[in-house]
Amino acid sequence: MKKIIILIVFSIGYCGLSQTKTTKDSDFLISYQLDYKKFITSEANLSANTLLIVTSQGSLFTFEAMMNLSKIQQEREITIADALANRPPFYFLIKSDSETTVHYEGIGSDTYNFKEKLNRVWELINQDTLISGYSCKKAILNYAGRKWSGWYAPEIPIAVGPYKFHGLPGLIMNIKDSEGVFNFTVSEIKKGNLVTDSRIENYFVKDGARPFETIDINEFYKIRGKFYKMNVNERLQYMNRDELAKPTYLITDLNGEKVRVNTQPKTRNFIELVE
Amino acid sequence: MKKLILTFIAMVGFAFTSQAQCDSQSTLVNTGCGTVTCLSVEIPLTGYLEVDSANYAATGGTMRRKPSLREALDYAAQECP
Repeated sequence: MKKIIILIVFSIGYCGLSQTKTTKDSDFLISYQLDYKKFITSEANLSANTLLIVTSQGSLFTFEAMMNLSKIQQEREITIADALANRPPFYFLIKSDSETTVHYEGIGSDTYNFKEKLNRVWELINQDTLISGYSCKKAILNYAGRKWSGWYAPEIPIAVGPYKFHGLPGLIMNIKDSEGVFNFTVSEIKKGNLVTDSRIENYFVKDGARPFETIDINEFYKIRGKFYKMNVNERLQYMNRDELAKPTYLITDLNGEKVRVNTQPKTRNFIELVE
Repeated sequence: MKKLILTFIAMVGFAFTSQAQCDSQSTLVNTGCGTVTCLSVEIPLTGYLEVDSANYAATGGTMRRKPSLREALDYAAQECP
């Protein structure tokens, strides 16, 4: 009888230990390289590193540059040199669980957030390829005005991907739009016990920022579209819209001579083709 | 002679260092694509302030301040996208 009790206690203990170990290694850190055309007139691609962190609580997707800002701002205020050295192409961060995603994005002095449902309607295509040694299957999707084609790895059974591309039966290894404006490709997959900074404000530049504002998704697109059509001084005035006087930049070279700036904005590409 | 040379080197060094700086109301912005500028925000003074303070009037109706980091980044993003 004593032997049986000891055996039961041992078995329960062993199960407990193995569960702890599984949980520890169940988080993923997935790096994607984003190749993109910043403006509608751009011919050459630019690149930026993005990171997707997947834990049992959900996922977080942002630029490596914003992760760096978060690390710095956990310890101290950032300087102009830190901010210039860690400039992502867009200041956005996406937090998702299985059904909903929250989009945080900085536009000038504002930082907005809005919720969006993750009910993507994928069409699975009978095509295969190999990406980074993983056998992948194809899927296509219409999302926010663009046609996307993606490759997912069924042998990594997590239904996540870059930005807000979720819901395939395997990790999205590559996804690009039909016009070749945005292209995300996995560059590294790591497993481990990952901790993310829960203070979202740490990922964004705090100096000169207004408090975070929850907003309707369509209102957000309108504001973003309007802001990026402004020239450099109009943007400055928009950032200081609560002030009575209209500020302008005074730009000089290191000898104190005034410098002319390119004031006409170029039309930017966004993942969403909506305004 | 050695002292003179050292003093001369120190003076030249100081001259270069002080050249690569902006005034107290500007921020040095290196856009990363070959442009290094001193960035400042100029604000026209309202009538109220002009009447209220002789200092503001002395600056020709405007005052200046350093840009916030968000303002500096937005400028840099347009100057060097």
